[in-house]
Amino acid sequence: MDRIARSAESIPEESETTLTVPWSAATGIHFYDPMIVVNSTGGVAVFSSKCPHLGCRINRTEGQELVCPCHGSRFNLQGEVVQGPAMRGLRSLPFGLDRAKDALHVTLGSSQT
Amino acid sequence: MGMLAFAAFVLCAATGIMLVPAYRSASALDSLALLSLKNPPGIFARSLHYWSAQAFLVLTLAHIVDHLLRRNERLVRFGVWLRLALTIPVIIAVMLSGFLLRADAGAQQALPVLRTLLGLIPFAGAAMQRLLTGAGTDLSTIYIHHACTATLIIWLVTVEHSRRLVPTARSLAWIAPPTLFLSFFLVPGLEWRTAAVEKGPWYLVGLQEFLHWLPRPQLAIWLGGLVLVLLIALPRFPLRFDAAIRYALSTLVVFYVALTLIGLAFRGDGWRWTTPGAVLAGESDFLSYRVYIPPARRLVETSVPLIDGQREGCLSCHGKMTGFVAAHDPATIGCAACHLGNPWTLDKKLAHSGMTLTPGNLSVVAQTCGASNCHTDQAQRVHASLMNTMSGVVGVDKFAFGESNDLNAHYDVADLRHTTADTHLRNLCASCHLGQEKTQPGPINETDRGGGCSACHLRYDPAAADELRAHPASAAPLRHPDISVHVPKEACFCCHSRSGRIATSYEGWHETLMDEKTAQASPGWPAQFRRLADGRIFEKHSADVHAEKGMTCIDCHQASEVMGDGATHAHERDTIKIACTDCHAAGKAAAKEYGQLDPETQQIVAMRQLNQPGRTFVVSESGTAAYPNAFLDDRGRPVLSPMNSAGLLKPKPMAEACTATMHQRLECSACHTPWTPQCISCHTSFDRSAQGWDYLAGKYVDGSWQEEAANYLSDAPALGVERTSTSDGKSAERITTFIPGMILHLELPGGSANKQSQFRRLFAPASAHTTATHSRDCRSCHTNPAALGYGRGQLKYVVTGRTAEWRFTPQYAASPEDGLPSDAWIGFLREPSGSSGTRKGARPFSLDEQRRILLVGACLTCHNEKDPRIARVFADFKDYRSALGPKCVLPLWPDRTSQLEGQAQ
Repeated sequence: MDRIARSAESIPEESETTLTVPWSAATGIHFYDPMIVVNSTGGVAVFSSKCPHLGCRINRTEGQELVCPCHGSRFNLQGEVVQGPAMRGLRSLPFGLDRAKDALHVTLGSSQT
Repeated sequence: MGMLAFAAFVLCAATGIMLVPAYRSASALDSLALLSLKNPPGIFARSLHYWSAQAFLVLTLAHIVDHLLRRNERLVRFGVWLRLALTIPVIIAVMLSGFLLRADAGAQQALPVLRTLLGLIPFAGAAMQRLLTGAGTDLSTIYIHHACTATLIIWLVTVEHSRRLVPTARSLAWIAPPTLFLSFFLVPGLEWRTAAVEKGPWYLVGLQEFLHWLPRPQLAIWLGGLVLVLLIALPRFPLRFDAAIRYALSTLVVFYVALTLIGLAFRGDGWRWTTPGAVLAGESDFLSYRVYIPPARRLVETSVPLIDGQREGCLSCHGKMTGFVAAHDPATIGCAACHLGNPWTLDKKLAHSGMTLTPGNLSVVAQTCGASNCHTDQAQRVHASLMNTMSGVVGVDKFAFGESNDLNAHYDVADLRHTTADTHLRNLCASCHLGQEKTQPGPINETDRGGGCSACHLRYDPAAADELRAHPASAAPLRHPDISVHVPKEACFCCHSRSGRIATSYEGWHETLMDEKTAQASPGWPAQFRRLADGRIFEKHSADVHAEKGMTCIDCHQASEVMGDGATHAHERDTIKIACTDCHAAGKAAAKEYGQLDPETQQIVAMRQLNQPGRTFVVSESGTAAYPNAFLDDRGRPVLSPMNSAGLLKPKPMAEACTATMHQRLECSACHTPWTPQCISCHTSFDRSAQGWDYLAGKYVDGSWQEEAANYLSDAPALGVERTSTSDGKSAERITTFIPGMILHLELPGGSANKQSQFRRLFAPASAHTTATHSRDCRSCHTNPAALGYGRGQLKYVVTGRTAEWRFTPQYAASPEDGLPSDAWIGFLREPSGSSGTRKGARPFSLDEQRRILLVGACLTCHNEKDPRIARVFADFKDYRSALGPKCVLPLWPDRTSQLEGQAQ
């Protein structure tokens, strides 16, 4: 599914639960404090970096897997859990892409901030 | 034991009070960083606070165990016992809150875990979260509970239990020396960046290990609650259950201790299994007594800058460095983000502890260039790239040594062991891969290779090079080499001046066997000669036209090829996604708008400010690669902006001859390569008495491989056929340039009695990188024995009456091993047999192809290539008979057949 926003109308309004990052910096797998941006040939996906097990921040990859440093849960680049102890995949975050301004706007939940 | 614990508690509380002026909960980490940077007494107070707290916990636990062993729970009133038991979680809370108040990377990971666990408490979870930890990143609630609530509760319960307001002087005298000693020599540090494994405080690592196995962490809450209930109810249980309960509690304690040991000693990155040695080899959480050495006054007076929200002590000493591009300027990312070390101390030795001089080395790249907020993708991909694995080099070497029959097998130079081929590679070849560590400052050159990301991206401008020459011993020059996308050709030169010599050929240099003295005595010295850093002498030849126009390697060889595309490949040619025709298209070049490009290309385009409204960027015909440096002008023609030089280039479209039917199988290089370096008589042997350098082990070893060459030739390459895959997944045969992959005698190591000498004649498809604007003429292929693979010599078309035949007189004598001339690939007008190439699908011309080429060659012996008859043959070879005149004499082949019925090549 092509999740890239096609028009500025779909860009969420700036609010305290919206994070904006430069789009041009989002190459491959890019980690920000509350989120992970996965940019692949299939499109863009944005996930919460909070491990669904106990909430540690996922901050690294090993090969094609995102790895939690606290208890070892692993997720593929589609956010699905590959190895526990987490039982759920990473939470997807809604986002909008403003190509005119090279900006990625991500809506964070209140638990992300 | 209890009194000692009380003494430790009081010491801890006292030092906690000392820390109040320096500590700010609103900016906890910053206050502690400043303490670490400039406040040695504050550091000591914090260290003593830490060690007295650990002593308090250990002694309290020992005291509890001691009482349980003595069965003293029935000697106190139940109310007292109840309050004592309930104080245990308060003690854990005060310890854990102390850990959280560090607010460093480890604490930041631990806080959400704690909140999640608290939230799992039935009924009161959310309230407990808020009550005990507050909300968001605000630590004030935790601070109040740590400093006041929990401390007060512990003190009051201890007073009730011990019946003393303060501990005895004797207990203080016992506890002070060891805690002072530990505080002085083992100073707790701060975790300034997130790690690949986050271990909480040592007393909770057992819980962390337990949670690793629990998909439902609620079980941990229930179990903890059960233990507490058992402990509280212990005095109330009938005596007949006493043993069972103690056994259960003991088992749980042993189980927890085992989990703690596992977590501390056997868990590494990503909480995976590792060895205690690997754990010990990692970064220590403690600093030495050097933190107490007061920094220089000027450093204390200088403000330590905040970079991305963190203090960067490095800049207090190295703040005057220049030479960076904006993205890597310390004002943006600091120094420690790349060089590691400890940015929260002004002591030189401690600050540099754990530092890396070359952050690009692949051994550290996951923490530096590939850190989570930097170039994670590239750092991941590069490990599998051929620039790191050298798969093709290893595979062909093993094939030549007879250790492998599979030319498409995948290898990694890091996995080499000690077979004959392996030692050969380790001795002579294994320095040219990205995994080779760079250990000295300075530009990459022929004597200093490797360095991971630095191998390509490290660029010394003249000022940085001068600085290094002036201060070679300084590891921190004022002028820092820059790190950017503008990979200089010198970076490629250091390795690619070897093997196929494409870097030297590209610049128009051909290797000789001269020493410097001989070269100096030669006419043309010095202008026509060049000495490389490793002492080899090169002489001037024609340079590649792209080099003359100011293009460098990265103008064609893109990131996905050089840094890898994530997939493993056996050979370099499998990774190439571009073609000459992408820019030299006969018609309209394929192009995409900026928004349709892959993110990496977009980033480079944006950095170079090439993106303009409506502009489209050239993409490969295969559609799999985009050029960040080439776009279409308003006439739809490609324009190239070289990565390392100014100006714009306008690639010419292909000539009509390039698209003619008969030449459609030809690669551009087949016609446009005027010369390539070729070695036709190498001798490789193993000298047991010599010492050889093992590039992988980084040391001298017994025995050394020696290579000798008789002569290096530099003329037009042989041609042959290579099977390649097209963009639509089909395979096609292309005629391309080949060079001797090796024509050598190989003396395998063995005793003098059974020394084995083996002969190899293998040709490899190779791109010489000597591209000329003008192509070689027709005769240079159709009447040139070297082009056909016969070797150099005289190829004559001898006409006798109405018959004619080709005759070949080789220049070089025949090799006794296979009867072919020394420089040949195949026999004259013979069907090639056996394997003679170093790639699957790469072969010399078949007999049928040789005959078709020489048939045209026969015409060219009489007719100029611009002759209209030749033009007719060129236009439609199938109909060549209609172009024959009455005087034309076609060749008679050695098997007495004449006239070739064939299709256009």
